[in-house]
Amino acid sequence: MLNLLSYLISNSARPVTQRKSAGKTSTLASLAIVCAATISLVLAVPQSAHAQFFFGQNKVQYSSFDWKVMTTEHFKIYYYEEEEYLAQMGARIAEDSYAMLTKKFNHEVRRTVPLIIYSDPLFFSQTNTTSGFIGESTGGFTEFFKGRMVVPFIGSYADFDHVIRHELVHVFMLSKLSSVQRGQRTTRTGLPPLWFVEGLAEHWSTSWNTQGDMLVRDMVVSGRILGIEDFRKVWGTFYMYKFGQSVCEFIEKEYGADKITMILENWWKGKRLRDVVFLTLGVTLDEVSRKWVYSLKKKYYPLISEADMPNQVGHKLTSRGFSVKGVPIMYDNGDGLKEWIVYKGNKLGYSTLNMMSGSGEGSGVRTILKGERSADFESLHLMRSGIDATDDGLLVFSSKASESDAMYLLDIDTRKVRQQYRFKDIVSIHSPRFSPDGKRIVFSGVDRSGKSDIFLVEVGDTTYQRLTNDYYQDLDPVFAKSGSAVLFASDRGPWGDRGAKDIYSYSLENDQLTALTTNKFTDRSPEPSDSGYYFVSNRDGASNVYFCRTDAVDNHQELFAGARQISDVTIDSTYRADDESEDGGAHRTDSAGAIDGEMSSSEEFVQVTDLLTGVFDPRISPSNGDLIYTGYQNFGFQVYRQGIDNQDEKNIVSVSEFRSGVLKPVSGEEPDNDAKATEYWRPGVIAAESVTSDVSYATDYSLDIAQSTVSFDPVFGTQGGVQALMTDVLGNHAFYGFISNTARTKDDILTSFNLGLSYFNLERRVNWGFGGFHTFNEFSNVVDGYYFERSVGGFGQLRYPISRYSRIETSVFARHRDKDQFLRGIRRRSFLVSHFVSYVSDNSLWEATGPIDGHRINLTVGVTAAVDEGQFNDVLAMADIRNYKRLGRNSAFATRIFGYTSGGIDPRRIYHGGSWSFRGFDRRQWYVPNVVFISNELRFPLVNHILLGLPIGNLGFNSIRGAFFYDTGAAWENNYPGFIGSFGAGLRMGFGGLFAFRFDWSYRHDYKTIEKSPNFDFFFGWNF
Amino acid sequence: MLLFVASCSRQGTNKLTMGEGEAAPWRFVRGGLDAQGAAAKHGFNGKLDVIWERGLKEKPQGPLALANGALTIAGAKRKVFLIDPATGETYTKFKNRSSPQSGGLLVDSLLYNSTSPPFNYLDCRAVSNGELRWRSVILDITAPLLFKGKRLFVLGGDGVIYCFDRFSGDLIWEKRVGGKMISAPALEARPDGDVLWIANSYGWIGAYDASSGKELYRRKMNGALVSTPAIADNGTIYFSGQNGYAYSLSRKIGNRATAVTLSEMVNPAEPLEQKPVSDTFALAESILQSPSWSSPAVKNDFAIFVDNSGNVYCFDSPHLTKPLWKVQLDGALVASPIIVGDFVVVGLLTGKLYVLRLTTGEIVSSRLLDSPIKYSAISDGDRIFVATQRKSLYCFGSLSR
Repeated sequence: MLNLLSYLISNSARPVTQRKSAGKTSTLASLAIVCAATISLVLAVPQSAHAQFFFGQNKVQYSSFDWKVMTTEHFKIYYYEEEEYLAQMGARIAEDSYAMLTKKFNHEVRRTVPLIIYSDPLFFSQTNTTSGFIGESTGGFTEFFKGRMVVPFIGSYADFDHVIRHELVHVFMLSKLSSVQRGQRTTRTGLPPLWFVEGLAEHWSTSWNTQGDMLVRDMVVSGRILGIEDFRKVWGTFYMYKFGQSVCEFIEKEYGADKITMILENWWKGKRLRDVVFLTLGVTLDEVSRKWVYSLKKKYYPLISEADMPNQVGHKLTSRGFSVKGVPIMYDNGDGLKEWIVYKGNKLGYSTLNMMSGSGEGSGVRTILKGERSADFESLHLMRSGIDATDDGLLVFSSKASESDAMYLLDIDTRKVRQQYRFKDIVSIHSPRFSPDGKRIVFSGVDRSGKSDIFLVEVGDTTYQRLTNDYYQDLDPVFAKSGSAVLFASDRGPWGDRGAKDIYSYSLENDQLTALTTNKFTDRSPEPSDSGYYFVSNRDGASNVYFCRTDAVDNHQELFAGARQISDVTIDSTYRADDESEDGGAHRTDSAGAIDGEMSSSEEFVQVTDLLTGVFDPRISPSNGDLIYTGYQNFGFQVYRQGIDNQDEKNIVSVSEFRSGVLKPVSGEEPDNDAKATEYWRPGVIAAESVTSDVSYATDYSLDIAQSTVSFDPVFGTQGGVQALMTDVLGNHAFYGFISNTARTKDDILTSFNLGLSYFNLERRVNWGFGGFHTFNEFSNVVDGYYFERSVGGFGQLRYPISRYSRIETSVFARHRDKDQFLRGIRRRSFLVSHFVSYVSDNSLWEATGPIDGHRINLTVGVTAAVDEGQFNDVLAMADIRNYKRLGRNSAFATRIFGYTSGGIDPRRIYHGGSWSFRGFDRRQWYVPNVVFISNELRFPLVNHILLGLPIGNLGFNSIRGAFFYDTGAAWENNYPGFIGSFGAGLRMGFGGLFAFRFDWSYRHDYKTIEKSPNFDFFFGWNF
Repeated sequence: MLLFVASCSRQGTNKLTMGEGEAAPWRFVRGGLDAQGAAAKHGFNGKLDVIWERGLKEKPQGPLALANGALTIAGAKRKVFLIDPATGETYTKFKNRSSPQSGGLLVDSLLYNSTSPPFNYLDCRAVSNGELRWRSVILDITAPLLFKGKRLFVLGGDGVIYCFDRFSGDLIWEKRVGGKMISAPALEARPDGDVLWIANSYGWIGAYDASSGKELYRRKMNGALVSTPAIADNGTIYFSGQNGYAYSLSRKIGNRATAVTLSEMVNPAEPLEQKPVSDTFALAESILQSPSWSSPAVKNDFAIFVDNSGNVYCFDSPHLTKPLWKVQLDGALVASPIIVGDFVVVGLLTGKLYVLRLTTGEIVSSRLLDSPIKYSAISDGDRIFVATQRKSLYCFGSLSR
């Protein structure tokens, strides 16, 4: 439906700043943390077993790639063999964009920029260049540490051009601001606000388009205009991108084309963007905001007289969250045959497949499938892929399942999967549709090289037929009513390199491909009817539904009176290499000119809807012919129903508007009857002489982080140290090292070093690492008192992710330990070998203060042998099971069951008590080897947002949550003391996903009496 | 005094003029002697042999200046450096509270420079002992300073033109014009009084009486103007527009236009405070291939324009109908070109410095320097001085005569 415009409720593309969703650590970051935590565990440094990062989901390397590196004048392009053509395209786009941006920024980037390309978003989601998870809405990103641009190819040349240019704007901006600040030798100024960073990237990478217009129109017409000062409300979302783009465009238009560049040049002169804006433009940022808002009103208010909003002319069938891709069917669920609508939704954070009455959710909603909680349904591609259903109650949809997409046939009644389709060579599957007889399915698929084509499969058969095979993006396939042709949208037309899409018909009888529309606009989502076909087009500025009344959808010979079938046109131009034209290097025909041949007299185009915002995925109701569609309004997508009249004479649109292209291909070859060979434009690739080298990838390391700290403890004295992380360009290999010293006197310096070096390999599915360490420090606990401990040894780790949601990990430590309890005169030297195995499962969904849905499980067993003594030193077993039962949007009932036991000569004790575990009791009240603990908590929202207007400025508090809890458990050394408990209430407040404050008020009891005085706890940390 | 002692300790003479002497007629920051961007002396033969190369302590901020036997370089951070053009050695340096973003203007023994926000100073300092003679506070002066006689012309970031007595710091006149004035003004010496030509970011080109500040002429262009006007001997004013236009204002003698290629004329409805100059102007424009952040240079009938894409254009008439020649250089270009004798010298963001023949555009020589060239080179007619972003200062010329 909308390539970049998806998941508006979630974090969208975050190319510049690196932000992780709380709790969802993965790959390198979690490995490092686990390494550090495990080392501490092994070394008996007292750890709370209720550590905050014990769980986490997995970024699974399902695919292995044979990477190569192509070097051009300004870039190093990393690609794998299957996508070599994409790499050449990307190189060309990158160099062209570089030349353009050099002039925009008045700046040269003085380093070679790494550009890493993936041929599909599913491969892109596996990248280790960032430790965070990449949402489906992320179109690419640029990261700070190594200045890498990482982009996926999503099937469209125009989108590929856009995303590379967008990310390159970030590279230029970072380089420019760094240069400007370095020149002034100032470090006080940070980056501009995110809306400006992303807005400028959009503004200088693409022109204002229908997507952006839709968002802004809706914002203005719905009366919820956000000024620049309110952009924080849409921070990180696609709205922010487009609003930012609109502001940047306005600044250039209103104040001068030079002003954005001048703002960057003047960046060092002010502490904040508003200071620099004032110096550069001579007006305040607030004034700019007012003028911008006013200009939007002037532009969009008059449109209300010409068009409508969806809820004014249609009936909104769904509410809350997002609901899209409605499919109406006539289905008998046992209560008689009536109309139902199957659709996709995301109301509470997880995507689901649902079913509602044809009159809307108010009559009842049934959830057919919950996605994003298990490996088979890891992502339902909410916005990107349509669904289909038969009147028999069979639903077809696609979902990410491990490495690639699978297509499922699901019984609506039993909610069971009848069949799963996986195709070895097809990575992504989108928008499957049944044939009229229900025996075949057609879908849009992407292969490993990135080609997006149309595929057909018989129901019950796992072999497929490939209908198209080229670098054009083919989408939204659907069978004609007769079943003898497939209609789909494609960018193979004359303006396809600029993102335009037309409707095509592919005859299954003679393999002929016919263009039904040919123009500069985006025509998509064809929907056949008995007398023609519906489709969506943005030719009037918004996506609206049109109807083509024709009897020629299946009869290709009658569609055109002239020579307009693609296989019949004559060639009048030859292929040109290195086209220097402004259209980004695509080789193309000359534009304009009338279509040759006469129009079919039976053809007529009618505009069916005239909405201000947008209409998508139209379907026709089988019960009364209403239009069922996804409409955009009030910052969201919902399913609508609208009566239509496609006989309305006044809405007739000239046929020539839909056939304005010259159907003459670029290729210099004579076309044969195989229409697939015909090209109208070809993506430009980098000239061979511009490539300075093209070799296999050799691991290329550079420093990511180096940081040092110095600390002073009144008991343990001063400590200081350095840690550093070095990874390769692809993020698959990492070296982590630390060194510190804990000496009290200079005589101790040499013997008091703590150092460690470890290596992690994330290249394949099994992640592994090893390392060595030497540590020496003084410790203290209530059991051992004060003691020195020196450890020298090494470790190895293996982690096998079963899926995104679960994994098995194991680690082995071997060390020589010298533990000196000097005050007691006890000293023990031993060679210890430890082995731990854990099973971790985590499909939790987080909100501002902690998990709110799903579950988290960690089961760990371990044994440590004192090899030189020939005996076990300790054994341990731990189970931490947490479940979150969703009650509402921001409410849940959370349960935690925790058990820990350790035995042996020197059992491993853990701390227990405090805000993170047993509330009402002191933090670390117990230090014992046996703990049983159960916690129950009802979490609910209190206040979403408070803004205090103070004289010095506004102070805002977000996401204030409440909780009622009941904790109970026992902790003991040798003698089981019986259960005690606490109950109470709490407040939580999240801070932008970084951390949460917590306040608990509780009463303790021993099941006999309740203490009279309450306990108060104020601390930080996520909910369990 | 310190400078005198320091200079006496060196071999050779102190090249800085200590007394009043012959003031360097400093009307333009590029080249030396007039508002043209062209050096009158022309011993330069086009060769780019390295005479000397020095490291600067700070990244250059703004174009170089040459006067009173000293090369003046404003550093990006705080200092203004005075350098011996013969050897590249630093005579002295002065530290400011913040970045001297308008560059340094050295006149006799007085150094004038502004400093960036938050301090916004305009300082006059004695070179001999660093004594601060006077100071004024003007918001965000980015345009280089200009002087004639005892008058110092300053373009404030607040949209005001100031004229100071450069010795006492007294304000002689000020004129609010609005908009940001980024580039230096140009002074046209006229028998009926000097005229200050200024372009501003609102797209206005204006002429102001240098003695009183009265507005004499104003015209609105299409897009921002970030160019310093260049004034030809015949009084034609050349300047470029940021959105990729080359402009010329030619004088109409009496009622007959000497050159008209466009229909736009001064709108009689536009209010002017003063009766316009007796000459009115005809505007000619030529569309460049790309935006232009640079100022043109002019010598005799030749006017040199450049654009961001690295194109260099030479027009040989104020009509600007068709370039005499056009050369595409290999890189982006923001520095302004200068004309030295029969050559055009221009530096690119790629770090390449080119010398082109003025009459034909032939590339005579080129040299790749260590980093981008963001600001215009300068010449004393024999040698070329250029600073790069990696804090290198070069002197080029011919080692063989």
